Amino acid sequence: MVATQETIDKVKEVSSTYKYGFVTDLEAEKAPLGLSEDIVKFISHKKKEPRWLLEWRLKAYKKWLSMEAPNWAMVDFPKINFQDIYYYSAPKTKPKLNSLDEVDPELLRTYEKLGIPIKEQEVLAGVAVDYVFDSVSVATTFREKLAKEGIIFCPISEAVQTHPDLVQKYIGSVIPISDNYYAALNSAVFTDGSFVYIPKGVKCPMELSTYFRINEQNSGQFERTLIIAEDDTYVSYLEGCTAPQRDENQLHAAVVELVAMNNAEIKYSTVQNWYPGDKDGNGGIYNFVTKRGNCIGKKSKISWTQVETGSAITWKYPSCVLKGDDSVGEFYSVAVANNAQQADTGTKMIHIGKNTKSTIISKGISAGKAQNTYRGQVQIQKNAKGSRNFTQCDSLLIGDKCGAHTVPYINQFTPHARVEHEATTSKISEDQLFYCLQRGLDTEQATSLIVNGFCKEVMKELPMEFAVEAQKLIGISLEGSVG
Amino acid sequence: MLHNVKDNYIISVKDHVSQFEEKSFRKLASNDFKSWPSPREETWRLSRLGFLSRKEITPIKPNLKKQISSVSKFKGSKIIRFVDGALREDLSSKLPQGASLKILGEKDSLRCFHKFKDSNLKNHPSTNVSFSCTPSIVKLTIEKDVKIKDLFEIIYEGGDDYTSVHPALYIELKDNSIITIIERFNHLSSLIMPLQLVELKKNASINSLKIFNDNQQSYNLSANCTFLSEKSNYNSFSLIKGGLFTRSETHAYLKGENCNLNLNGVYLSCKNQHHDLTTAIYHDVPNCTSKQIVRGVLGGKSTGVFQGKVRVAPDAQKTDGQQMSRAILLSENAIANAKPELEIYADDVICAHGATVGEIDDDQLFYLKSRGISEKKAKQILIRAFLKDIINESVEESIQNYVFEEAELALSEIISKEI
Repeated sequence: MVATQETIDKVKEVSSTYKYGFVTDLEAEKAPLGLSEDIVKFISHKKKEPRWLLEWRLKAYKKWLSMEAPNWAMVDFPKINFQDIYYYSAPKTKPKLNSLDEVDPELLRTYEKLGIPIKEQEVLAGVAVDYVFDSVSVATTFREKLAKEGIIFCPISEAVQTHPDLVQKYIGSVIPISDNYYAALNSAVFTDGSFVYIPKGVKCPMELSTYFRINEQNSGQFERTLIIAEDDTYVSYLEGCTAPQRDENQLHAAVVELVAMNNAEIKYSTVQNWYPGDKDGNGGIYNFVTKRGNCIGKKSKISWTQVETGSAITWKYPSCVLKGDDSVGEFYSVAVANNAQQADTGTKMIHIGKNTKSTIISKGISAGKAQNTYRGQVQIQKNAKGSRNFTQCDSLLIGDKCGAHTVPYINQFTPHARVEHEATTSKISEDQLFYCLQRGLDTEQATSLIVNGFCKEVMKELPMEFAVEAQKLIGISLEGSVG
Repeated sequence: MLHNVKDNYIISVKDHVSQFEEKSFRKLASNDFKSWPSPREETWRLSRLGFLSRKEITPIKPNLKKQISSVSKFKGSKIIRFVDGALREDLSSKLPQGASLKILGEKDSLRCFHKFKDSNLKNHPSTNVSFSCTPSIVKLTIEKDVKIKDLFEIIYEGGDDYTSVHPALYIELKDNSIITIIERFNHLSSLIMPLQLVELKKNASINSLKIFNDNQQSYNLSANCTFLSEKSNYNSFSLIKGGLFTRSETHAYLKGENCNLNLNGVYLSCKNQHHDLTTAIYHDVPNCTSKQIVRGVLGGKSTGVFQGKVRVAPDAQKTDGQQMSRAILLSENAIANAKPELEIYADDVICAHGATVGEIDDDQLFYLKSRGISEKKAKQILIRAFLKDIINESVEESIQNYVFEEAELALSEIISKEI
């Protein structure tokens, strides 16, 4: 109830629609506009990358040229002009930072505005953060403490220099460059992202977190995250995103790869709040993300939790490939689409090993003129005997102009497994609303309360500090959708 | 679309219509048949037709003298017989008053063609090929206020290897009429492409039972387009058991308020059969209900596919759409695919779907075994109950036994191999 009260306060407090809509005036170093082989080389050169990585990028670029943008998702947008995007944009900082004090103060103020504690003394927050600004990672906190445990948590561009063997071994191992159009694009032009390596037997003592922000106009953000959890490890990783308010659409095409070995557990949580565009659908981020986890080891576990409130268009399917016997995949999602937002999101669970289990809980909320689609696939392969899947996807409609769609695929190749899928679509019931109104809440408060209740199953999977933020976000996202 | 220039069948369809005028519906239809649907097309991804382009098939020239010895399964039923895709009035019963059969002329056929072309079956291969090659479009009309007591039995048979057959039937039920129709598909052709257009006028009601039992090597691509007006009722049940590849695709448009649709079905598959039940239900107006229950039993190396889509238009408030599919796999090599899809643009609706795939429930099996029943016997009981359940719910009491017997023929074959 306390958190709900906060939601309501927040809705009141933020009278404008998008809190993170400011632009930070920072000098940025940009690559020339557009995409070509030279740009790929430019990025690679800027990052002082080894030869193999440049070749890998060029291969991806060639592959991308031969591919066509997918059109099967239930989203509608004008064709993207890939030549009208800056593929590299870095805040002009001093060549090397020795401590956080040397970070551009303007940048620090941006993070303060975002409400992120970047200062290391704010240890209480207990979160190690990697900040990715436009395309470049600007600061990573808590590295020393993590290093004591042998954990590597750093920008991926740095990992390429310091741990090239690990990067070379795993990059593209879960999502090959030919996987899909946007993954190929990302592989060619990715500029930064986080790299996490948890050595054998280590349980990561704190939550790891990355904050992404697109600042420059016309720039795309192509980050790449790679998390490797060795045998008997645990890591929880959080990701948050914002972008300034602009009239034109901006592209965000990220790739996230997770690798879990024997008995390892990775928990990946996302609160995605990219700028969704204005009421009429002008501007906003195109969020085309490929996320996949590979449960290679026995008894490994990958859990995706996402709260998607932002972006003009979301196209995102965090998936699990359950290769190891007894491995577990989970997907918990809340997707809120208001005004002219379009979301096509869901998951894939590919059961390969024996006794693998997966759970999918998806809650879609549509309001205004938004379209919200759940698209998911559960595939039980021939050797996945004793596997089990349970899928539940519920949609809530607020207003009569929005749409909610469910497109599940079930492919089962063995009799010794069980797949269950259920889905419902409904609006907020008059009875629930009446009950709240009777107790003195106004319609907006009541809706917020009911929606938060509807999402509870997913919210409880989020780490504490994210859960509170997520609840607030949902309240803000739905602002103006009722009454 | 795959552009397979060497596809012989496309050429033979073009040959078949070459004598007709440019404006003829046959020519128009054949112009749109440029290729078989590619597996990249969403609705054909799970049911691929690539094999057809490599087969030597030509559209059949119906033999109107062919004699047929199949008999009716029902006493006193009215038989309508299609042989080689052509209506054979000489082998059909005299219809009771209020029911009539008519072969449509060019103008009405064209109208019929456009109804398909305006629907989402416009790119279905059967739409284009069968409108090109059908001997004629036959219309069955039930007059206003007529309640037909006799059972109508429509039997589709004939055809030879290396030919395709193209029966086309247009059923119109005028206001307040009622009828029960059983359709049996017993072709010998390599390729069967039946077309059906059903129009239910105000308060009309139809009970439809379809039994797909074609030759073991046949491909059956049935396309059914149904329009429901106010307060009408369409109660349909399909039993798919025959053919090498059978796909029954039904698109139902709910155009009048307070209409009710049941689209149930069962597929029983063994050996290397491929059975596909694809449906699309379009709720275009408020206050309608639709319900779908689909069950499948799969043995051998067979594949079962259920694709069901419920679309609720922006103003179709108070819609109730339910969908449930269950498949039981009895063999190591059988495959089950399900894709129940909801597309909803109205907020005041109750829509739900569920799908399960698995083997026979362990708890149920244990319950029976603990009562002294052998595992083999227990499995048989459970499979039969699984089907009896849905048959009893879906079809009229008077024909339940018949449907179960028909199902049993296929089921006993599966059971004898797998259990």
